[in-house]
Amino acid sequence: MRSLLEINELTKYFPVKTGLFGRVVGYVRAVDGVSFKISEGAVFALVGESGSGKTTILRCVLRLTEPTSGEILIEGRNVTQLRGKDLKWFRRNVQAVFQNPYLSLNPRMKVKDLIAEPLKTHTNVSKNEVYRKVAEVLALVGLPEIVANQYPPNLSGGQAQRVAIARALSIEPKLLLLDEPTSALDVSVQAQILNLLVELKEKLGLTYLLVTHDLSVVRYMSDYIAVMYLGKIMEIGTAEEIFSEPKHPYTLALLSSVPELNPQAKKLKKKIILPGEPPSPMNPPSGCRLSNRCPYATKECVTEEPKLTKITETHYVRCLRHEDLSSLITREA
Amino acid sequence: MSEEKLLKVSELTIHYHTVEGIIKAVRNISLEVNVGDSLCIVGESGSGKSTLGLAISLSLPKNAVVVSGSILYKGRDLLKLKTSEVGRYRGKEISMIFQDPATTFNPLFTIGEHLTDILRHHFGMSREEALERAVELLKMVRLPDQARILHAYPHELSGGMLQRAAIAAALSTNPKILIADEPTTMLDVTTQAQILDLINSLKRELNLTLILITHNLGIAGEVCSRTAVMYAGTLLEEGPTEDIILNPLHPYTAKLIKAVPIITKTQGRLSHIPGVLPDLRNPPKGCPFVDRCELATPECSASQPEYFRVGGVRRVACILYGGEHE
Ligand SMILES: Nc1ncnc2c1ncn2[C@@H]1O[C@H](COP(=O)(O)OP(=O)(O)OP(=O)(O)O)[C@@H](O)[C@H]1O
Ligand code: SF4
Ligand SMILES: [Mg+2]
Repeated sequence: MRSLLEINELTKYFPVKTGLFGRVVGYVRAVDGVSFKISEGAVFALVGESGSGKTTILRCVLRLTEPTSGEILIEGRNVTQLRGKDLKWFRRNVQAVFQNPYLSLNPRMKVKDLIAEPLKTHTNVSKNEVYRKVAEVLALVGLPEIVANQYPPNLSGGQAQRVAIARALSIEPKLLLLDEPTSALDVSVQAQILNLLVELKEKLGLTYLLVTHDLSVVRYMSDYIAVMYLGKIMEIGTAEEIFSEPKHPYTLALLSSVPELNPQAKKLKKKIILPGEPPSPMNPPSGCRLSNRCPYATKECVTEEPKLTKITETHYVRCLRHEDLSSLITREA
Repeated sequence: MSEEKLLKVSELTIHYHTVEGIIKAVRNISLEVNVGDSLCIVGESGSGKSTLGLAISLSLPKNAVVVSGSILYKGRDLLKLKTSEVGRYRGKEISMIFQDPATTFNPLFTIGEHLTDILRHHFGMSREEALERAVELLKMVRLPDQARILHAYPHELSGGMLQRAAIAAALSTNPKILIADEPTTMLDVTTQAQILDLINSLKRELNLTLILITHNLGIAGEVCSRTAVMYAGTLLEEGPTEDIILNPLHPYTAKLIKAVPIITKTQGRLSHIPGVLPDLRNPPKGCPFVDRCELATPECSASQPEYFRVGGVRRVACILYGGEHE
């Protein structure tokens, strides 16, 4: 299948300046050589904790921040170099939904005008047509008609997030970027939004790039998963591979840190609790970036930087000890 | 440990007075906590969990009015304390930590100043004694490099470290009850796992009585032996956490559990709860879940269902379990 989005060796360094003279004293390596592809119709999830670089990647794709190096191709076109007609095409076909709908929706605009806005800017549908389309999209995301005349502050969190989704979808984009789309919502509302996103994807043939720290959401939704830590992909594979055969200690730690609902499953689960917290991306540890927290680290891990190593056609891992890992874990259990 | 009733909340009702009207945040809640218990209060946003926690820790905001009920701590009604007595309980017998650990600390003081202040004030320790104890407390919450942390200002610590320091501060007065309100909600998942692990160990080591407030049922399962489920200001059911998760009684709890995306679920739809939360200015007269409940009957709208006992250790406020009155 053709890739809709292709990211090659993407790097983004942010300069760190001293207060007084603004001298650059170092760089935060927020994204450090990241590559992946998303084929049309797939759901690709970037998973990681704060500081892992996932949101920076998303911002690069959205052209909100300029990469330091590397390329981002959408349908083969270089995103950073888009001009004129291509740029218009991009703006229409790449849309985003963010974590907090109240921040991303203008509180003084009625819902119908919020949804009409992208239609007016990006398409040349007539005025009558615009509001017919608005009604259609509202129905699509499961909002009652009366919401059209309300303002965002008067909507519940779930309703507001539906409006944000409706707004993004009104102009029929190909790629939807989802940045923690449900983490500000209550469990029962989260389920509604996740169901809606899955439904819309099937109905409209959308492609999703999902950014989240919540693994339980990821498994349910995604085809492919990249696990990030301090700017690098530590493991990448199909959802099945990541969840059933995780090969990286960090992936294991992430998986085991999700509070397990089922008490029986909990008894079987081995908990890996990483000591400490992620170091500053300004000076990551030498060798493997997890080496100072990894329970399985050896001397080599501190000196040698592991490469992304192939396990299957779709599954890659960045760990020097990935081959020993399964035996290490079973021995401990 | 003898099973004395440490805390007994009875028919507690709390309103907030706001410009938009009176918000009935907690309605007619009763619960008991024994020494060494760990009770989780689970509910979605706005269900009244924090209000209940703040009431027990004597920290309700000014616009809150306790309309009725009592909170007996070792037999003494905390709601009837004289102003001069509050200090003997608040932060001393009952401590509380919050979602944002920064709220515990004054940004202008170091962690060490904060801790030694509490210790000198509560126990009349000398500076040296207080410093020594502060180091012990930081060790107890597994903070490394205690000397450095004593000199650090709150903003110099990561979220996880600051929450540990807040736990140390809360425990510095040797409270009998610790109330933790969403203590890991702002943290990364691996840090959350550490803090939950710490809370579990402290519970064991100090025989701490814990009330944990969370919206995450998985966390309830990791930490607490008992769970109370709240919805729209009321307590819908209570019982052993494992029983509630494996065999929820209240229709709301059952729906809520099905809505949680679990890590083993690979496909299909999540079930969700249709409808919206009731307006707390004007909550339903009967069961608060009545508008969203598939099993509702006309009787459900008549009056707030009473609690029915199930299997001795559980209770549920739903007419479906009528027959065995509490
Ligand atoms: N200081 C206040 N003044 C007015 N209303 C308040 C105040 N604090 C809370 N409320 C309202 O009281 C109700 C219960 O709120 P509470 O904070 O106890 O719920 P919660 O279960 O802790 O929710 P969350 O999960 O969002 O923390 C809500 O409707 C809330 O808006
Ligand atoms: S009391 Fe009635 S409305 Fe409430 S949960 Fe039970 S059956 Fe449903
Ligand atoms: Mg709260």
